[in-house]
Amino acid sequence: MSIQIIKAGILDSLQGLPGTGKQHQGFSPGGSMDTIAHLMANALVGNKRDAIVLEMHIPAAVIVFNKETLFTFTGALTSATLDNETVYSNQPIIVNAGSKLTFNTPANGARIYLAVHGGFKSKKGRLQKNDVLLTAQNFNYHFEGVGQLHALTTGWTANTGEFYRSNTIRCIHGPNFNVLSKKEIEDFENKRFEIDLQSNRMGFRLKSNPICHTITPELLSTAVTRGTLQLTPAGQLIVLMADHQTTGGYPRIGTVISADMASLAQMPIGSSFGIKWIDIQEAERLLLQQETNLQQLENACKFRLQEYFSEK
Amino acid sequence: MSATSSYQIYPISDQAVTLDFGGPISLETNDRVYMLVDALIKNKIEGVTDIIPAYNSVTVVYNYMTVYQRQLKNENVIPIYTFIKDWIENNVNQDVSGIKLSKNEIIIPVCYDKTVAPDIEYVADQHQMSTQKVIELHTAKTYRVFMNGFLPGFAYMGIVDPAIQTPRHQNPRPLVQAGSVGIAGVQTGIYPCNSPGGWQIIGKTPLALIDENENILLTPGSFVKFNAISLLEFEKLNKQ
Repeated sequence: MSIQIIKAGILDSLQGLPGTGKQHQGFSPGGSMDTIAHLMANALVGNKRDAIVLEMHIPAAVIVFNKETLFTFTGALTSATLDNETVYSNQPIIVNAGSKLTFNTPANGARIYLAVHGGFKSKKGRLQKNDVLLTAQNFNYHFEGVGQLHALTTGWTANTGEFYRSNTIRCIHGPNFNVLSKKEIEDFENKRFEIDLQSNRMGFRLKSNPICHTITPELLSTAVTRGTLQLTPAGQLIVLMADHQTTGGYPRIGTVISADMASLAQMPIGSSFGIKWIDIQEAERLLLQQETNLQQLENACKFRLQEYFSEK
Repeated sequence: MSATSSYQIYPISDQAVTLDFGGPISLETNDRVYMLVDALIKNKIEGVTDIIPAYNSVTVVYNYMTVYQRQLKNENVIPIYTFIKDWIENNVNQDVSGIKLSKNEIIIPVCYDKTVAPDIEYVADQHQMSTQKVIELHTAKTYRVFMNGFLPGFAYMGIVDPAIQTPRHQNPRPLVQAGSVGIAGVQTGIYPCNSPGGWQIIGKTPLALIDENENILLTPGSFVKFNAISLLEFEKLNKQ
């Protein structure tokens, strides 16, 4: 099975989950920006968690399916036109060979994740027009009705709303939080941080007023993580995202909690949010809660798929 | 409190903890970094995904859920951050006298000809010496790979002879070529691929620092010596 990109989007790439074990050699973990959308997409088509998915920024690619398959798209909430019918995010869809998928705008979010049954075979780097993406296994389910759309579970949509928040992002203090003055710390909770145009998969530059006038001390480079809030010499923040460098020398004033990273990854350029400081115990509690809810939803997807195919 | 037990330890995320020895760049502190790394690797626990050494710190990255589930089995209910922190501290407090650091030395051929070393004359001028003297001083020392970072396979090495230490450029170059050897303050390093960069470029190596399977040449903790080669030799080696 394969799909073909017949019109490239603004930035399409194949992504796995963040890599492990090579950061000490300078390799960025990389992986899907929105890992919740990644996991949901795989769950909806019966894949393992780490199967490779197609990450698309908006405007997204136009795609043709070369063979029948089971697919879904998650992440940014959007509709798409599949031949002549409208389909929506977070639904498993069976599609026939030759069908064309075009995403509709606007979308609520910044990144769309498309998964096919079996997952894609990896192909590194940015995807281009006419690229053919092979899948790791075929979809052994045939149905009647050539050129006709079949939605797998009529009206069934996985509700992912609870995983995303838009107004505030929760952070824990970083080791250099104290480089901020008392006034700057006070200002922080009332500030809005706008995602600057110069933002990408490596990091989001944030704009806020007033800027921090802290004279940043000389710091030795040390490890940084996805979500690290670095204070630049210009007095603004950069939040590190999936393709971040493994080490950095700017003051680290905080870190976005893991449970809120997907929400941040779905914020488009130009949108803004507030920062709320919480402690590490609360961050752990929120992560555990999120993971528990996610596993429940994954199990529900699995059950629905089994049920559907056993009836056929 | 003895010198070997002074450090700070703190979360840098809800899935990463750093132990920071503090202080400036020094071989002694970096030895302690690699002793801790060795001990952590030896006593590794399930769920730890990365152990990242830096000049004077070690960062442990872990998968919260994996560690949590393991804790649940052991009926242990302390917060995961505390559990990881305790594990790191138990290893730093261990007697490390038995641990030997690798003394593996890697020889790097470097061409210091100004056609591939755009800043060598500037560095010589800054210190009022000949470019030949810069080469002599840069090749005289054995350098430690303090850490990797910035780019895959980029090694932060030191300590550069004080007589040629030069600060980085105020405005980074948009393009530094792969193989370029730079200095910045006490540090020296080699760009593994084409990249923007602010270090003073005083030479270039024909060696690949990273291969197609993503194996890197200069791993953290190893030792490096530079060997000056002519432009002719550089071109010959570069073609291979």
